Amino acid sequence: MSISFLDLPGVPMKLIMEKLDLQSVQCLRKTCWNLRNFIDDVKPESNLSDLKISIIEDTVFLSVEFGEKCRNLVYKNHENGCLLEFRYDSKPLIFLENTNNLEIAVRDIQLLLDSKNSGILQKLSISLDKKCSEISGIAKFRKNFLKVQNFSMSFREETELLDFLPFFNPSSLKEIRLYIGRENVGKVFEFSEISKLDQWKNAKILTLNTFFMMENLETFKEVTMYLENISVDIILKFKKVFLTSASMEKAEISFYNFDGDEQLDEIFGEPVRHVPKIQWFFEILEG
Amino acid sequence: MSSTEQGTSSAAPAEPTTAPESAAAPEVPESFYYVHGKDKVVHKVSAGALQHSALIHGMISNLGYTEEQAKANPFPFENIDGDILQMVVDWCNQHKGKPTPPEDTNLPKQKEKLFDLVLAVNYLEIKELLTYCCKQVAMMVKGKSPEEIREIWMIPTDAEDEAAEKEAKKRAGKEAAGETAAAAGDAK
Repeated sequence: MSISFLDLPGVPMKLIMEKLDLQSVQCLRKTCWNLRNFIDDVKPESNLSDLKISIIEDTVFLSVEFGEKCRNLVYKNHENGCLLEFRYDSKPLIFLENTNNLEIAVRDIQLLLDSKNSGILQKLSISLDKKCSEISGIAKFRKNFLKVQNFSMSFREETELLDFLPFFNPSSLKEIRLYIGRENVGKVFEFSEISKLDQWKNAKILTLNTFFMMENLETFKEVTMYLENISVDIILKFKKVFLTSASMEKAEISFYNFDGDEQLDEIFGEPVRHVPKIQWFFEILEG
Repeated sequence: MSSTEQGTSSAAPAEPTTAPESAAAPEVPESFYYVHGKDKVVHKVSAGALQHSALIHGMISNLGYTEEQAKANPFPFENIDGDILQMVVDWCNQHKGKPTPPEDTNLPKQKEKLFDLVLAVNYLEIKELLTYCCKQVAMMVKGKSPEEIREIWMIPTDAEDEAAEKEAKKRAGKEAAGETAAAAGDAK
């Protein structure tokens, strides 16, 4: 009697799954309980590279990238269920009756992240218009730390960051990008908790659009701040951190408003003017 | 099969062989080993070609056969069909001492044969060939719906599978009842 696909041993079965895209694995998973159990157990690795999650007014937007392929999904709340839309795709809308759009989206996110165990997720972006415990569970309740290389998040409170950052593999995280909404512009963050994390200490690049206590910046190699307004005081603090940090190679502030030009001349002395650049050079003292 | 000390066997005399002549290092005589499948047809394969199989390579290293011993004791693979073993031997010969290409298009297109080949290659631990075979199987699945996959690979649905299981249990029950009745009859 000839053998069937279900008779194949675990090693080749796993190899086959690894050569398939996530959608094909999910189709296989739907064929029978045998394959469903195998896939749930083995969790075949996918080439998922980027995942962007955003929630705006109860609608969940997912942007999912597999290498060069990108899918945009929108989970809308509908009278009696969830309306799933494939944006920029010719696929028809799917209506899932008696379901909650957030639950469906979270289940899909978990399914996507289940396919990232040994491999690294290059980018994870999260933007929520309000705190959402369902989404925060995606990293928190995993068996193993999610390997994320570049994490970006828009946040309001430090606690929101603590729902994700501590649950990433500390050796995989290279870049952290943090953004605050316009309503929090000018608010100073201390990041007293997150700066104690290994994930924070091991990351190399930090980008933010807010100002926060400089003491927690020394471990980064590159820091970029996008600020609405800056003051001489901020520049002096930033300069001090840069000159004393052993690891920092680049520190940049982009700003809209600054009216202390003359003050800088007074403090730093006459700059070197190469229009449009104005430069001051400082000596980094050894040790 | 008995184990002897490490053999330094000389190359076998000219015999019909599936192994092409080794281009590399002609001054070192090549060792040959023998394998057979379910059909008992013996294939003569060079040690170089057999290096692809981690299982056979391990056996060769552990047994240390001389040429005569190797000839007298072909490795038996009773669980592998003759034609499948032939395919494996041919592949090993073709890729002897060569870097394996990224793809292999000469694999069987027929699914039963391909699955048999996967089983054999997995058993013989031929990593590269297993990767090609699995890729080929994966290509058969890509882009198919669950229904299409079920149809192609004759996978029963959960309901069908459950019904078949119930049926099997019923048969087993009947059989057991029959045996008990027969045993009771014997006791009388």
